Amino acid sequence: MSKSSLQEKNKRFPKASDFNLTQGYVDAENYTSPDIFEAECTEVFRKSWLCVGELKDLPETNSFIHKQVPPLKASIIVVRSDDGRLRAFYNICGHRAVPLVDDERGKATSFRCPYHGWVYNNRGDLRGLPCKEDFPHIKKHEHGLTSLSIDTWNGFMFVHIDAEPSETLIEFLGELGVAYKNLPLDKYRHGFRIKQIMGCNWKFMVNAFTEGYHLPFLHNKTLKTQTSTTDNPHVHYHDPRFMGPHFVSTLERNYEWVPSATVQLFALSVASPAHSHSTTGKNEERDIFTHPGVNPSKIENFMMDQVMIFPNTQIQLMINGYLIHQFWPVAVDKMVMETTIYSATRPESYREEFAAVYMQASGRDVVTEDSSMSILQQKNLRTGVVKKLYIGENEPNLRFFAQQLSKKIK
Amino acid sequence: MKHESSTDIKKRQSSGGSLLPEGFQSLEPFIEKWGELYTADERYYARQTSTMEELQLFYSAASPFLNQSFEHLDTFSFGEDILPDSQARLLRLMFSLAEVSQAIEIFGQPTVPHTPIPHKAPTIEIF
Repeated sequence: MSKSSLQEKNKRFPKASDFNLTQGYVDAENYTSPDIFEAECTEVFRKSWLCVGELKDLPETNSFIHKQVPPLKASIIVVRSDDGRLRAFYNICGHRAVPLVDDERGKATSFRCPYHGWVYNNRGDLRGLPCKEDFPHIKKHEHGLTSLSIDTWNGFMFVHIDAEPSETLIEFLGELGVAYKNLPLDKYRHGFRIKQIMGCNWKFMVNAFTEGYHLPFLHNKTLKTQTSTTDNPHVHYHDPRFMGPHFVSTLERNYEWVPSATVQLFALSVASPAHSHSTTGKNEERDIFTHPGVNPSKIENFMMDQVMIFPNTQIQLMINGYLIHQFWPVAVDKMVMETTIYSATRPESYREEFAAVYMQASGRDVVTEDSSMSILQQKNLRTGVVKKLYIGENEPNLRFFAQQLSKKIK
Repeated sequence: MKHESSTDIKKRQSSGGSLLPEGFQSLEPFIEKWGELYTADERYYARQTSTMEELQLFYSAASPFLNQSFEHLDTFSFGEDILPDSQARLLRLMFSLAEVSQAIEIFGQPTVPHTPIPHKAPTIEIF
């Protein structure tokens, strides 16, 4: 390689040291220590805005969702109240702490406790309790549901456990919130959500989803051919951008790759454009791609901007569709991963339904490749012989993420 | 969709009833294993617990019918539970092919490498 093309390449794929991210390892105890896990929950998750869904999950007045938020040890209700306001509450009756809601979503003007029938309106006010003469010590206006702060950005709903967080959501998102404001995501309303429990520390999966180094190896039968190019065989991420605790990179796709296997070819040729490898298409069908914040380095074979909102939400913005990964810590060696994949249309024919079934199966298998590695890593750390996990110059996002976490928990 | 036991299937075969649409009869031997799977979980489990020979046998028989199947199925209006029995059975066979093809076309083995068998499928919610 000539000197100038090497310089060009170094510019496109900056090294971790270029960002002063010089620590090339993390201590293994960050993945095994219950104390560090607790510190992550209290110092990171209890002090951050956390994404818990999207406005489109609450299509109408009185719509609600009910969601587990493991690092808060909480289940919460997010509701569009009868006055049109968005509210979030702990799913806990003020009488003796029974959850009010079981269903994952629905419509309700009130929530009634299944145990003794205490009832709250969907603004969180205690409205009634049976045999109220036996509770002279309970003043209704003092015993509403415990709320969380809630705000939205690009239709994503974020909660914060503090009634008055030290920074607003917009302040928390900072530069990232500005660069990606007004994303045209509203029309993407169809798709599927995959949820699974994994026997590993949550950061192993964050790592797997923020570097490309493993793609040609672990995913050599799945993603490699679609992402690895002669120019960038080790799938370095382009143009890493660090914004507050958040970070973004651009990924490229190998557009020269054309599937040759019968079923894969059929499925991909039918699948919705968000998942296809076509760069053509009308501009209105490529509206995410044309957003000024997306692909700032103008990579021609753009695949996605990977937007990591600290600490645990990743939005992948593709040409004309998007997906969200969420990495939820449950215990030091247990996590829940939720992935929601959106498309502008739902299947409208049997062949499109087949393509959706195919994409769900292949997507599941790719995530399984990553989760299997993470589970095996966790197992090996139990031996106690591993003291350090190493991070290369080609993995700046991992160094940055580890640095941000350690700043908060020390 | 109504679930039929394998005895029902045998009865219909012996009485000359048509289990699959005209032109797809050669896939009938695969109905018992691959045509009565109704969910992604069931398909994933069947794939993981089959041998490569079983998967290859079904793949070789069914993949040449992929285009033809959807040319036929897409003459029917699209929606849940409205296909006639034999078309619904063909659709289920093709959904199984989507799953089996991951083993044959992608991995060259029944399961995702380094993954315990059977791997529990994640929950999938479609909206």
